[in-house]
Formats: sequence, structure tokens, C-alpha cells
Amino acid sequence: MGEAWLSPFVAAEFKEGTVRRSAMLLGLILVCLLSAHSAIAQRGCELNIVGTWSTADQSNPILYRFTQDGKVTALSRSGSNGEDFREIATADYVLDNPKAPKVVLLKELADRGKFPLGTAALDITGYDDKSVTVKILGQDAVRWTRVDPNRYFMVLAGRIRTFYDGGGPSFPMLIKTDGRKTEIDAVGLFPRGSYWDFGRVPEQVYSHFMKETDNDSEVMFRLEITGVQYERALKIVRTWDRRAREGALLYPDVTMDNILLAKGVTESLNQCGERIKLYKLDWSIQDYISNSPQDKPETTRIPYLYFQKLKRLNESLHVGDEKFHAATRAGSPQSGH
Amino acid sequence: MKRRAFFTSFVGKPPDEQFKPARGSPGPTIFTNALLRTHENKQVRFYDDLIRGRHVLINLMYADCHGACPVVTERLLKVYSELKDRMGKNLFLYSMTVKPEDDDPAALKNYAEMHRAYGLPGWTFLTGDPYDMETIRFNLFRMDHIAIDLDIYAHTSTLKIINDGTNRWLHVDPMASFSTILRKISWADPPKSFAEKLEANKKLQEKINKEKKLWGYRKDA
Repeated sequence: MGEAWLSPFVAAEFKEGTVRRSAMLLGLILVCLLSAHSAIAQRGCELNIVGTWSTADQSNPILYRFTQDGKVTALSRSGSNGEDFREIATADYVLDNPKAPKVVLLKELADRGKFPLGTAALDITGYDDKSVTVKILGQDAVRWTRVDPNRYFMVLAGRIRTFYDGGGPSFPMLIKTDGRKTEIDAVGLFPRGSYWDFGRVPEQVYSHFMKETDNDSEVMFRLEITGVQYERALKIVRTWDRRAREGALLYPDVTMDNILLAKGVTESLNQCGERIKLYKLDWSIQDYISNSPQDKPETTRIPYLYFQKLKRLNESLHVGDEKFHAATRAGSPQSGH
Repeated sequence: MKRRAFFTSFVGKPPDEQFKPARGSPGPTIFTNALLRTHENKQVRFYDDLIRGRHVLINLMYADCHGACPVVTERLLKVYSELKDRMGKNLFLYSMTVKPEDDDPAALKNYAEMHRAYGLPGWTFLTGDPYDMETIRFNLFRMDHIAIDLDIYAHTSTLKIINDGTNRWLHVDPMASFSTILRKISWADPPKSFAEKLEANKKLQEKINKEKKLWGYRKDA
């Protein structure tokens, strides 16, 4: 009676337990798919252990400096001002997988001091662009944060009504500064005579976008990024610079290449988790920037519209002039090439 | 000796008289002369060693693919067996990875072995620097639509047919019928001589006559 709402065929199957078995099987498949999805989502995120990491203990922080040659040095705070660090010990380290390590094997060196963690296996239980969580057997997991003396910014710059078709220069700009020296890398579409060109953007073009503007034909979205995000974006920018120099661009129309660059650089920010709200620029029916029914924009205008949209979506992340110039101490920019 | 060298080194530099590019061939400008690695870990120049003057079939794949690639490879295996007399002599098949970061020559060799494509003359699996592989992918498979071109998975179900000796470029869905695939491959064949055309016409007429006698009309029109 309980199965009256089922069709006779399904009810008969239910009695035999086939439906229950199928439901269990379906549930199992769903669990597998979900775990596969999370594994895929993490796939693009790589961890570069090389660099300096600080433990969360603020009263007695220990720094671990990992070098490319498989050595890790422990440093502890010394001196009255508490800003100096002295070397405690050095150990060898080996990663199980250099791109996405899960285990770091540490081996103390006999003549290089007593290493705080001893000879141990560190399990890496999670990581993002700023930190890594490690666990030693029998101890609580601890979070290490990356120590970096530099600050990094990404500027998404664009203008319209410059070229004959209504478009204008548009490019991402990457800035690295330690407060004294500033390195700038800008690659994208820029004016050359009455036409446009693609490649490394001249200083007179990008310097205009070093400060905010009220001009409604311009967009400047500046956001502070981590060293890891900077390195990822820099790799993309430099690859496009190389393509422009070697004549190996992916599209014959450089304005299309510029869109690929804009997409690649901005999407790389979210490779290790959602850091900014992205807009899906994919020429689908939902993409009203490239598929606007009222105004189908020229490809020279698309990056401008895209950067404008990203700025609107992430208004709180925009770094104003005051904060930016305090970080760079208003030093004269030095080109990164 | 010369003949042996030709038949044994199917990815080696071909003798110029055998594989002569068409006058209008775009050459390394479009194909690039990137240094690639085969599944047997041999270094090859993409244009000079693999494309120059040759009739080639190119498909995209990656070793860890569980979607279209294994199915396409199975289809290509059947196409290969259909054309095996020509393979490695005047027809070549290249399977290029879209994930060169993950697919080293060993991974491609495993893939080839798993799909019974290892050791087949004229069928080469290729990997290389991601920069070069992306350039080649865009130059040969670009559809001028950013979303499609960026989707590496979408490209795994396309077969490019290029004859650099006649400068003919075609493409076919590897899931199309065999007759369609074989017909498209034949469209890039070098032009037949007059005698060959006469012979082909004679055979076709005989077939038509036979069908008319049997069915009263031409069945395979």
C-alpha cells in the first residue's frame, strides 16, 4: 500500500530493493563526483615552498627560510628592538611533489645547530597564496604565513575614444615595490601613431594610469595582490611580451590577443581560491559585454568594459592614490624590463 | 641503404625529392619550427621533420583524458588500419597533447600503449614546451572564438587534415562515419594522373552498371 504512488513497475522493483540499491549507487557516484570536483578545483593551485615563512606565535616567532637548493634555515628574534633575527639551525628538506607538496621531510644536519622541528615529516594539510598549514605527528596543526618585504599591486587600466573605432589602450600593469625601488611591467594594447600596437607598453602611456582619474572614458582599477599572485600574473604578462616580440601571437588580430591577456591575468588571481569577484567574459549569451544586443562593442573596447565591470564588482578592493603612494613612497617608477 | 633509411626513420628528415612543399605552403611561419618531443623521446622540428611536403592528420589529446580522447583514439586506430598501407610512407598521423605540462614522452608512450597505438609506423604522439604547443594549437585549430579557443577539451574532438605538398587544409569530426573521414582524407591527396583518373572512372562505371542491373537504379548515388 505504501508504494501506491509508485507505478506498478517501480513498485515491483522497490520491493526487490533495486531502487534502494540504485539510490545508494547514485549517492556514491555523487560523493565521488563532488570529491573529484574539489580535487580539480585545487589542481591549478601550486605551492612554492621557497621563501621565508613565519609561525603564528607572535610572542616568539620563528622564521623558516626555504631555499631552492633543498636547505631550510630556522631564525629566531634577537636584539632589543625585536626586529633582528639570528640563525638557529639549518636542515635539509625534501618535498614529495615539488609543485603540490603534501609532505616535507626535514633532516637535521649534524654541524648546523639544533633544528627546532628536529628530523621530522611535516604534513601540508592546506595552503593558499599567503599561508600554509603544516602538521607534525602528535602535534596541533600550525599556520605559517609568507614573509615578504615587498608589496605588490595589479592595475587594470583602460581608456576609450582614442582609436578611430572608439576603442583605446588597455593593459594590465604589475607593480612590485619595497618602498624604495619600484618595478613596473605593463603589456597590452597601446596607441602607436594613429593605429594601435600590442606588446610592452611605453612609460608615457602607463604612467598616466599611476594615479586615479575622474574621466569617464578611463578606468583604473588598482588592487593589492600577494607575491604568489604577482609571480603568476608576471609569468602570463611576460609570456605575452615574448609572443609579441617573437611574432608568435595567438590571433592575427592583436585586439583579440589583448582580451586573452586581460582574461588570463585577472583569472590567475583566483587560481588558489576566490580573491576577487570575476566576470565571465566568454562570449556566451549571458556575457553582455561581448554580446550586448544594443551595442556590440569593438574588440578594442572589450578590455575597458571588462576592467570597468571588475572594478564595480570589487569596489572595496580598489587601492586609492593615498594608500598606494604611501606604499611606494611616491618614488619614481623604474621599469621592470 | 637510402630506401632503408627512409622507411625506418619515419619522423626523420625526409629526402627533399619525396616530400616537396607546395609553392603556396605557409611553411614554418604558421606551422612553427618548434622543437618537440615524440613519445619515444626523440627531438623533432615540427615543420622540417613532420610537416614539410607531407600529407598529415593531426589530432589533439592528453594522456589523462577520460572524455573524448580515448574514443577518438579508438576511431583513429580504425582509420589507421584502413589506411595502414599508406601510413608512414605518404600519410602520417600526429597526436599532440594539449597538456604539455603534464604529458612528458613517457606519459604519451603509456597512452599509446594503452590504446594499442604504440609502435605503429607513421603514428607519432607529440609534446613540447607549453608556449610552442599553444602556438601550434592556435595556428592550426583556432576558430576565432575566444571561449572555444581557450577550451582545450573542445579541441580533442577535431581531426585536421593537411597536405603541405598540395597546401590543402581540411578538418573532420573523428566521430563522423568512416566513409566521410576517408573521403575527406582523400580530398587532400595529391592530384591523380590522367591514367589514374581514367582507371578510377572505369571502376566507378562498372560499379554503377552493376548496381543498375541489380536494383534498377544507382544505389550509392
